[in-house]
Amino acid sequence: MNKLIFIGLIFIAGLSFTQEENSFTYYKWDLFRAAQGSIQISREQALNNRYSFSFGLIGTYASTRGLAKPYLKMQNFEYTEKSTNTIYTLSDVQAIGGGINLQLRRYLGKKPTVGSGFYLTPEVFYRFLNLESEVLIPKTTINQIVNRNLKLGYLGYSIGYQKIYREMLSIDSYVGGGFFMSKYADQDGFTRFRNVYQIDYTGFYLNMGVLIGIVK
Amino acid sequence: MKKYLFIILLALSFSGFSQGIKYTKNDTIKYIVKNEIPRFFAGTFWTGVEFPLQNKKSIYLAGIATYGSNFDSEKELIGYGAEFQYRSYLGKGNFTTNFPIYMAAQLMYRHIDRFERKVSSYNVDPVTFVSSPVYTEGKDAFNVYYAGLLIGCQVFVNQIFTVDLNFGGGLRLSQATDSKSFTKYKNISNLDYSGVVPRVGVVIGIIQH
Repeated sequence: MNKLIFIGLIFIAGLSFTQEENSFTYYKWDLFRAAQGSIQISREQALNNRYSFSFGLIGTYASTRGLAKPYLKMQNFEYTEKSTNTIYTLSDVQAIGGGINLQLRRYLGKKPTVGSGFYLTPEVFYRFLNLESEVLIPKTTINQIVNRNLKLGYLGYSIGYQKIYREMLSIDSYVGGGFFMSKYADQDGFTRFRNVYQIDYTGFYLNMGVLIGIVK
Repeated sequence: MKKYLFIILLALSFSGFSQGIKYTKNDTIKYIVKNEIPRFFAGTFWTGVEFPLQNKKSIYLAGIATYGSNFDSEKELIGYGAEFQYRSYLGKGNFTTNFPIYMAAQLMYRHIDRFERKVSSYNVDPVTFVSSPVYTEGKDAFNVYYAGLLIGCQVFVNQIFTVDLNFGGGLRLSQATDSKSFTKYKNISNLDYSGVVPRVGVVIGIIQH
């Protein structure tokens, strides 16, 4: 919770930046994350005529009984508990967490308009998730709550195109890739034997999405 | 085979009608940084740089890094490699086009460590009768050598980036690190298949002037 408050304060603090005459600020919502039970709100601000900085906040509150049901049902949260060497399968999962997403965008072309057109950016994000589920205790018929903490990191790049409509709305679509890292707090090392579409995958990863924004 | 000929003829006919930059103008391009985006689906980061040479020739050097699963969560691949292409853009004289067509000779090398887990048995809970799999893990490693030819079209968009579409084929020879001969009896969809294979690529590039 403290992490979320701290990140939120940084986000709000950015609002008071002095803005030059030709600068802009966009607030954007990532549509792809919504299908994953997450909300990502990003704030993009011009640094100069070519570069802009984007800072995003990711919040997750999803369960297999909500909007993210298809996405969570695709996952495989099976894990082996070391002390008892027992395999648990988390089937009815609730995921709560947060994170940040950073981009330094370089708008392309000989005379670029920052905030509009094709851009190239490195991208970093960090997320943490708490996964909660009821599982059957081995050799009994009793259920118990299991909590697992998952940390996710990503380092990659994106190439995208941002279009501004009537100085009010922005549509930002991007595609790219990078390295995705997943680690459970109760396990050593990064996760293994996961499919690329799973939330706890580790490996090279295709990243794409569409963001809708407003111009301030 | 007729389909391929038809596609080539169609592409060549379009290039004849095109009006755009002179390809020789691309001599102002220092290099094009490229990434083969569909390879991410196979847990692979495949990126390179194309350097234009004189007389419509260019070379393309790429690095390959693999880490992840290849649509099969029971297998984990870790590896590295490199690719080299010598490209010859087609057409006589200083024609103008935004989508030059090229032919390329291609060489590639990859080393892959493949970790595979299999269910060796099941533990059955005596109370609930729920069975849990017991896994065993194995590892093998192999080297892949490839030589082939490509035909492709590089579409220049606003002198900012390129979309490079190509297809072709060549001979792939795979050799397990603990074997002296090339692999046999493998499926063509496997990375360690030895034989003639087709190749299709979609590559995005950023132009550096």
